[in-house]
Amino acid sequence: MSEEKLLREKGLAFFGSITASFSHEINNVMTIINEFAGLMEDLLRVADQGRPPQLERLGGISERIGTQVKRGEKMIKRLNRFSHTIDETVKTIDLSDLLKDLIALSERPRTLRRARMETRFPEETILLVSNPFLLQQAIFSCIDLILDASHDNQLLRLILEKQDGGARITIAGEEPIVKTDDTALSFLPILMEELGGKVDVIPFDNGGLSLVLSLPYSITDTVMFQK
Amino acid sequence: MALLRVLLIDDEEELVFTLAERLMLRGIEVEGVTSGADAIGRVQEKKFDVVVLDMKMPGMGGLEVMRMIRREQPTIKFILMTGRGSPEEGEEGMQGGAFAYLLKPINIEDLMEKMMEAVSV
Repeated sequence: MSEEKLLREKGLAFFGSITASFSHEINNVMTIINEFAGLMEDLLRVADQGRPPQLERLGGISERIGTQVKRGEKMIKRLNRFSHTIDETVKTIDLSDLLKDLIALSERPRTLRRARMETRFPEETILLVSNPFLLQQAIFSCIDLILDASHDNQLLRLILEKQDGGARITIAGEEPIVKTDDTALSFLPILMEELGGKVDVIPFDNGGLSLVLSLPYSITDTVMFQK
Repeated sequence: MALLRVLLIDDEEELVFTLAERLMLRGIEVEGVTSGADAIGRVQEKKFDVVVLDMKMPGMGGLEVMRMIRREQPTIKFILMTGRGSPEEGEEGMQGGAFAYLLKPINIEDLMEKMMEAVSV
């Protein structure tokens, strides 16, 4: 398969997995709101039968509906921002903002594996001119790869740092890996080449794994002129 | 006396406790837990007629929870809850021996009906 076709197919698969997982989360919020609304109806029905209405109780439920609506709203905004990353292939990106969104978008797969995530971001803003969709795909692939390769209850570390000529993102799993997905590992360098950067796979002594993505300040200085 | 003894399992705490309250208002004896491990602990201590559970949960998934619970209480009936986008999970659960599956958001009257059917079989 040509690299172009592989990139397109993997890109679609990534888009699909994020939207499927996140729409599942939104559905959970809708389910909770549905139950709260149902409980209000139930309590009102009881009140119709002559018992005094539990006004305080109803007020509390209404507040909790509001909390879930806000939770859902946040999710929809994130999903919307993610969907729009496909609009422009080159864009100025605040790397911390992009990573925070991506961490939230990848919460469900992490929760299902009971994985925890520690993050370290620099205080200064790091702006890159890059392809936002491919960049998210590369970072998500690293998270996914480490999750897939490890036992449950993994501690993942995501570190963002400035480095000469760009930025470095380290994604590390603390526990020994149980298997390595060679297909995913072989695709990462192709993605990073598209982004004008590179990936280094650094094994730990205990069998853990660290994936280090090096990215240039501007994709246009590297990739665009090479093509 | 309660109509049924139900164990409700879902990792969304707000869902578990709200649905449990609604079932209690309909005369059902309900216990709610938020993990498969807690559910197994409960069935080791108490008899239930029906287990209503989410298929996708952190740690032990729905199918594994079903297998473990059945070891403790072989006659217990299972009703699964799955996301709207993944009915195939429900089918998988049916093959694993569940009595029925419902898509979230669920209709409580449908759930009541399925639970009654399950215990009458």
